[in-house]
Amino acid sequence: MGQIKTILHCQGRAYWRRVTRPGSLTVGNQGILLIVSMLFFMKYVRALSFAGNEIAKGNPGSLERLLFAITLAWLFPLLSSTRSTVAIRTVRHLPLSLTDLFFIKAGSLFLPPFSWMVVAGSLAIGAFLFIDFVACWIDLVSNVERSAPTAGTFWDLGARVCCGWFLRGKG
Amino acid sequence: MAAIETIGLTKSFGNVIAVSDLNLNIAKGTIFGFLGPNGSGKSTTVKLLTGLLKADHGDATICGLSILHSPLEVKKKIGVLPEDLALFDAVTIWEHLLMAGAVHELDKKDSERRAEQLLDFLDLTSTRNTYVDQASTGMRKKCALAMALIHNPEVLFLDEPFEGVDPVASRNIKDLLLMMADRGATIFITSHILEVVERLVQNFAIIVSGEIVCSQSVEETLRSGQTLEDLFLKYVGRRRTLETLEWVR
Repeated sequence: MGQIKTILHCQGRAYWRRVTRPGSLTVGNQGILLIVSMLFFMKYVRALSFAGNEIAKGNPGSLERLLFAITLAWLFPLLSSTRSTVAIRTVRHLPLSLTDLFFIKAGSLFLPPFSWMVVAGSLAIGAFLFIDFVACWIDLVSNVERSAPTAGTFWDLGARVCCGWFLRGKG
Repeated sequence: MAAIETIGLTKSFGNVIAVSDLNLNIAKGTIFGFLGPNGSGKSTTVKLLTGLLKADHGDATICGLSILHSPLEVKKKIGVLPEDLALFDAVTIWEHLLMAGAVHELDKKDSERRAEQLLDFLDLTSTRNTYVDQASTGMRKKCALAMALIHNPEVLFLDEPFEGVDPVASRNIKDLLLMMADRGATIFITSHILEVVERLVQNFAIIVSGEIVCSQSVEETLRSGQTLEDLFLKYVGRRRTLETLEWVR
């Protein structure tokens, strides 16, 4: 673990030094890519809130488009990793196992800030889906509660499931 | 026990056979020169022996450990100066040495002590904070060499160690390698600088188109009244006549 940390630390430092070098943002259109990424991210956050409203109306199209966009966005750090992060051939002569090399490669994908944005975007959509799921569940429970004939059956079923779990655990 | 032994090592890239049925036996505590023209398979052999490439057939043992079955254990015992130096851009020479020390599981204090000594020995102290992508070819080579040495390996693989290195540093490196061999380390060198190899190695092999065409000791060569250059030219190819380039001033 210490070896992986050392190499990633070294590579992280190298990455930021390259980024902060004068003129580095003009190399390979990095500056433009950064601006476009920021704009895209801001738009994404707004689109997420819009998708929330749409899905409440039973229209999952916006959410599907966002999931597709985030999948595409993941391709960028993956495809550009050879230029911006550790080349495995640079460390292959060192005493590192295949697992170490895998973690070094995977860890080094998260060095560029673009990767952080994609991670933040993915976490945002994950959090949104979780909140949506919880809200739907609460909505379902409250609807069942309000409907007198089904409420008894619902609680009865819940109690049976809990008892079953409890008894299976004891057995 | 041989420090380095290869048994029928073979590697091809598509239809091109880079190394064919290589059999070497290098004794512990010796310096072995591996010579050959460009593209003859020298660097491929080093890559096969250091686990950078996987052989199509055959096996090699380093200090009795198979490179196929125990690659990680082998890598702990060896130091490598790769052909492409394998350095990180925008990382200083000093940071490279500390990283190499940490990867070889040396404690920080020990790494720093050894790194200081190596920098001093290789005349890199004043340039320790230079980023390797801004350093000269010689400095980069010396940095990679220091990285290969920091953990005091039992076997050292050096791919063209003297190329681009100034004469003073070259002399220091030669003295260091001789001392290491005296103390029991085994050194495998590829080089084009035949005069240096002749003075440094005990045994050598010449590889042409992936096959060993000559393998003997330097002593044997000199006793037969030949030099390494004579042998190299004999096996590697004819000298070109200059008449074909009559247009060159």
